[in-house]
Amino acid sequence: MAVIQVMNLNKTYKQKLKKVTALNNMSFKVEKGQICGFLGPNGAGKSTTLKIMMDLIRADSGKVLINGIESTRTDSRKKVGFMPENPPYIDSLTGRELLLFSAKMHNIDYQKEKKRADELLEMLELSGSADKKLRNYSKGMIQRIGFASTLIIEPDLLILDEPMSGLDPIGRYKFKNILKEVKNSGTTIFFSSHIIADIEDICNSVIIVKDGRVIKQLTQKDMKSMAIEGYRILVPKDVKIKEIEKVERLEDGLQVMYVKRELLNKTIHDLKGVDIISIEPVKKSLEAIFVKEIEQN
Amino acid sequence: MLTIISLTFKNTFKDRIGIIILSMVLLYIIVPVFSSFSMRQLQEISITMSITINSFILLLLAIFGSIATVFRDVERKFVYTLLSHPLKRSDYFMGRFIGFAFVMLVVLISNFVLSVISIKICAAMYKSRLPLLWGNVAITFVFSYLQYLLLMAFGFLFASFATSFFIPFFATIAIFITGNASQGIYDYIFHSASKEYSELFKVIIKAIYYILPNFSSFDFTVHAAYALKISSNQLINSFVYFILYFTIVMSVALIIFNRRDLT
Amino acid sequence: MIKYLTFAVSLLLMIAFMPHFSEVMQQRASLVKLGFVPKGELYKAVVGSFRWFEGEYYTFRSIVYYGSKVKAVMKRRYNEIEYYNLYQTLKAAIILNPYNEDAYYFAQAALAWDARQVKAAIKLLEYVYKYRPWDFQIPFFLGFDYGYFLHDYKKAGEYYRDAANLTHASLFVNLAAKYLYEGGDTESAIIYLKYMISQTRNKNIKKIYQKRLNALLKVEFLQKAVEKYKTKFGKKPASLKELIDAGIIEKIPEDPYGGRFYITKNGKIETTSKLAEGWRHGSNTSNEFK
Ligand SMILES: Nc1ncnc2c1ncn2[C@@H]1O[C@H](COP(=O)(O)OP(=O)(O)OP(=O)(O)O)[C@@H](O)[C@H]1O
Ligand SMILES: [Mg+2]
Repeated sequence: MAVIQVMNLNKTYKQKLKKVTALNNMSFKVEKGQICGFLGPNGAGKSTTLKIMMDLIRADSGKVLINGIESTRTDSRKKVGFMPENPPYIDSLTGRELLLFSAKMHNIDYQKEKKRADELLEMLELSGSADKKLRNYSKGMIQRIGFASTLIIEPDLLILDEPMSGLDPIGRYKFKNILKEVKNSGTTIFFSSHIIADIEDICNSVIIVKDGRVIKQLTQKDMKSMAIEGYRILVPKDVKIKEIEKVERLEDGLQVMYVKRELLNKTIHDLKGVDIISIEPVKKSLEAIFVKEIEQN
Repeated sequence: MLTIISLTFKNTFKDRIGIIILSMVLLYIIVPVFSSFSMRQLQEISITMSITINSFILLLLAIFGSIATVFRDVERKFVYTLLSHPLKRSDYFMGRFIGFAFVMLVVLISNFVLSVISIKICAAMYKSRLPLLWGNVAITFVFSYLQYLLLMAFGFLFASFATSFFIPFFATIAIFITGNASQGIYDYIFHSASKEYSELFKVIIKAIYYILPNFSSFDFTVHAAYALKISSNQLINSFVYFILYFTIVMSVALIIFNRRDLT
Repeated sequence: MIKYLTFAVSLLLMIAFMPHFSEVMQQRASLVKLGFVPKGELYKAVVGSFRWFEGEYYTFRSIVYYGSKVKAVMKRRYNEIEYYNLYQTLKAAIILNPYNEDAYYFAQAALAWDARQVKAAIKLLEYVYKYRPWDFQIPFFLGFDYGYFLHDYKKAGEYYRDAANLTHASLFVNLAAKYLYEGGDTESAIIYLKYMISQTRNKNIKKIYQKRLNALLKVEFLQKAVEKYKTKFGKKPASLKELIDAGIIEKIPEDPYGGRFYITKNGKIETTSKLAEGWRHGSNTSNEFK
């Protein structure tokens, strides 16, 4: 069964005079055990969808089921960790207090929660500032402590809104590794982002939205098959082989040869005795798909 | 809900505004000083002043402590990180309320203790012809607690739908003022100056009087200061009034808060 | 849903409860207490620009308070009234806002006659007079207080002349003249009361004046009869009954305050009720306010 089922959501924000349609019949599913990316340009309605999932705002029509329970019911949020964008935590708490508070809200045993809090602080490299007030945290630190507070409840499902914004490159790298670990322990992860590389790196499936609608959904299979189209092989200039699609001459006496995926073995065989400098896989990038879809719509 | 209550309770005592308000209890020092200006009413004035200071502190607490907190929770989106737990909105709302009700209770009790001390000092300085009825003083404190709970409920009601701080803030102050004046104005129009006003006007006034909260019914200051008898009928009347009014305000606040978008 | 149900049920209960509630509150209203007001001077320093409103508020409170005590005043149960606190409140009101007409007007009304705190009333009036030198009402009241209560006819005459100069009304010219030569107490009191009645908006307080005016009109009526008797027989009547016997009046009118009229040795009409001098008989504060 799908962990998240979003069914025909519509939402129009009414401001004083003008109305903004944020969601326009948004529907999709997220399967169990995946890392699913929620991708879309600014104002596509990603945050709006996530807020409706957490029942912070109410859809005009349509509904969301989480583990089969309607999101308007509180028990749909059992074992669900949520981190909003630029997470607003009560800033008079310290980092450790925030973790313990989250744990309490999910009725986690006191001894266990203390131990787990220390582990998480360690893991996210916040041990040093654990007892500082959140109002003195930097943006990246808030992001990390927020992430820790979603992990302390031992979630089955993580819903994260732009979890990597504000993280430095090393922070991103580590964060992605943690996400993978968490996924491997059986947790489903659904997160929004507009950084394609991040999604490409770790996601099993991707939902692309624009103007409040899903315009493309890439399943696990799509993601896999979109993987490697061919290879770039860097060799010295004087090497010549038949059946090569395209050759590009570089300076310094080098040239690049493009080969289709299925021809790689044969080509390497043909190149026996040649000094191969490097072989790189060529992917059809998510970026290309994304840009194409966005422009088409 | 318990977690929210204890969060509220602890944070108020740690918060800067909370500390400022709580430090107002120092005002009790001025009670004996100020009372000694009076020539023959030391005891009466010390009682009146103690009650007034208590009221004042509870008022500040209700407005700046609690209402501001709920408003800030919504405004600064703290609710996002609170309500994303399996926490009912109504539990959050009531938890905040009960937390502040506890804070108020603690403040009230410490105010009462300080009042007893300052009144005793003043009563010792000059023997009043009136007896000192501690029961009445206690009743006055209890009912002023009810009054500020009701005021706080109003604040929560306004904060439940407000989109700017000024609405709950000024509306609560307006409720406080009109709630205190309503009985006086009603009495004036219906008794002191009955014939001067048209019937229509009186019907309107009566309707407004029924709708507005009546804080005078919780005010037993003169009974405490001048040792007047408080009938149990009065107490029950005011108490029932509190229960009904409070339930109405709180349920409306909950209904509104449950329905709104927390954008 | 529970919330909606709670709301509906408590609303219905509330509607059912309100009449009872306001009735009980009404009983409490009769217990209105004025309580203590801190010294005006002190207050003035603390409340800053709120003082004006604050002063008006105290006046308002005094008037509402006194209005609620009309029954006690009419029945002359003066000890039920906190005159001292009333005086303090009014004094604070006047110090906070000496320009407020209500304040001194009401001080004169309640303090001078009902409470017989004439000196206290005069003190407040003289204070206000400094701020409202254009206001003829103040010297009028002062003149009345000095003449009628303190029998200081010289001062009374001076104040009436001030009043006359401010308005050029013949009324005050007459009063001034009267006081400079003789003490026409009853007549000036009638004029004074008629004026007060014409100026009072508060129905309850008006009633107090009306009653007093009635009594005084009767005194005046009897006084005139005595004068008639004197011109007719060349001597003072020994008792009021002689007026009836002589056919000058039909019967002796009743004192609205429940007393009995009689003639003093020097031919003045007085009453055993002392015309609501009740405060002296019943009040708990027998010395002058300070
Ligand atoms: N509180 C609000 N009031 C009015 N309009 C809003 C509100 N919140 C969002 N919107 C509008 O709804 C649309 C969707 O906004 P949303 O925040 O869901 O986008 P998003 O996909 O999260 O964008 P971003 O990538 O910038 O975070 C936008 O057009 C936005 O202007
Ligand atoms: Mg967003």
